[in-house]
Amino acid sequence: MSLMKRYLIENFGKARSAFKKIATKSNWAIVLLSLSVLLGLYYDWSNMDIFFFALFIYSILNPVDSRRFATGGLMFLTLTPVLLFLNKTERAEEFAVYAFYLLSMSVIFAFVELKKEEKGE
Amino acid sequence: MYIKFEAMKHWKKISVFSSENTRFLVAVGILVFAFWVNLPSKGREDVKVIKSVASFGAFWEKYQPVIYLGIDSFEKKDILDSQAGDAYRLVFGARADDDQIVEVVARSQNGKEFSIGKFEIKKESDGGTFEKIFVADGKYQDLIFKRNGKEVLPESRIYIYNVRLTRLERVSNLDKTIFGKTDILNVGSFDGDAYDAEVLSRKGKTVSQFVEIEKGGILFVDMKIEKVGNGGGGKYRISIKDPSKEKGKKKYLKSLNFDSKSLGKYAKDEGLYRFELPVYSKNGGKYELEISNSEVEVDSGNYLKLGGFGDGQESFFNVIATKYYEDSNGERILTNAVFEDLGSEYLYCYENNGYVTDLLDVFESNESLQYDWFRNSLRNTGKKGSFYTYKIDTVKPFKSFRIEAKQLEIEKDQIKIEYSFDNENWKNLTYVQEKNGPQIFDHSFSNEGNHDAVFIRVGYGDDGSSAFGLEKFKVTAYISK
Repeated sequence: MSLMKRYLIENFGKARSAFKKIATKSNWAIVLLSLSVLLGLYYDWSNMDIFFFALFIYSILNPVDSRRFATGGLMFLTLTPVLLFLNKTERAEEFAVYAFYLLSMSVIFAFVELKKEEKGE
Repeated sequence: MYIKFEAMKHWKKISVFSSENTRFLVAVGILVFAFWVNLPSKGREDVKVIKSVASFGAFWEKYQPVIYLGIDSFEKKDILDSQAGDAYRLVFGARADDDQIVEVVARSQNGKEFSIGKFEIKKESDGGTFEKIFVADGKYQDLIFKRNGKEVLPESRIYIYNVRLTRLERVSNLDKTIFGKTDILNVGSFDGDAYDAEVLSRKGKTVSQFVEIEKGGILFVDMKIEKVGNGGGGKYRISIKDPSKEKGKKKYLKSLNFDSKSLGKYAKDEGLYRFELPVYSKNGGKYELEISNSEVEVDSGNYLKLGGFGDGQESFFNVIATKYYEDSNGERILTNAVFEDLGSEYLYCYENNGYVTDLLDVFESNESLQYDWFRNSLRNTGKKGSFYTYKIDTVKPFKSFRIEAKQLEIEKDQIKIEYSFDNENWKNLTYVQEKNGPQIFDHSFSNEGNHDAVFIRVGYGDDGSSAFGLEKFKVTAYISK
């Protein structure tokens, strides 16, 4: 019994150190990013929805300048009336949704940046 | 004091860990939230309560492939009008000539597709009913059935029919849907005379064999025939007889006369001929099939040579029979009826199929009721007292009941439709009719008693016409839970 216990303790230690080696931050980021894509696939989201969700998760793990999201959002927003003018209402609706996604992300990350600046990080 | 110190140590560890890995924890939190929020809405009642049902694909399409060589999808436009979060139940019948997978997708105006599900259709079964509950993630209009990546052979035909889409109030805690279905069976084993292919070359011969069928009825009788010479001059007669009756007209349930010249119109396949002889059998039983050349001039060079069915080719006839189903109370479920759970209530729907199996859905009628193959509808002789009655069993007492019907246009006849809760006391349905147009009936009523069955009688309108029937007949009932 004691032998068994010792074997388990020794191997648990080995497993722990191996896990510590693999469990780097970048690997965790890959795992979470893959999970976000898998989640979208599991719930049959559209490709664009999966993309925006994964982008959101990625941006949390690897901060991106909030202005980039704002630029993307504004681009989609500008295209929306053009598409409406061309009578592509469905496409315009989709673009409006993408603009909303990007502008929301921009606001969230701008708020985080502001908080960081206040802390003086 | 020691315990408190230990707890504080752990708390410190946790707070250090969380401050070092805030971003990861937030990402994990968002993932968990996204997973939870997308789970089938258990207990959530936030889906709008709108009752709507769309259906297409008549039962007869069971015999018309919609996906075959060169055609890989079948679509119905503008059948959906979904918003994100709308819940639906899709029900359809399908069969295939070999094992196939069909994917059903919803498509938006701009071509965005949403996969509703993939369905395995087995070759062995004579069609199955498939059901899928789904929540739309956006606006969709069209419904498409696609063949899902299988090598396409000429015989890989897929048949889709009785498609039905119902808006639901919720997607969880729903009872199983009850479908009225009819199996089509090949009945090829008989007892009777010994096989003799040349039997009809001799004058005045009648060949008969017996067949036993289940509750349901006979639809078609197949025969293998080879025309020798000119096949003989005159009319051959195929009949289905009730062996329990001694003699007389009643013994003959259905007969069909044909001459050898017009034999081609019954051709089903090379050397195989299909004769339509629908006979409704309420309780099943034994029937006698018969072919006779007593009215035909035959000789050894001009006659119909009969082929055999079965391993030992012991049968002259192959019968396509139907078998119908009953619910747990022993009540007949009508062929095309659906009893489904919408969430807070049940919905019962029945609509005529436009196929010969409609005969099986009639509760009672006088003997002249028949299926009109030209008009794809039931038709009864226009004489006094002529009628046919449906019994709609709603399984549980209904709240509201709606009858919609459109008169079959045969000459200038008038029909009357009545309903009753006991098959004795009848109430007339009113109708609207444009000049020279058909009578249109649309009547709704609520349940004033505790009725779970409605009898609907379609009768001759005392107007001197030759025949009457309904082109469309549909009932819808909502039933409390």
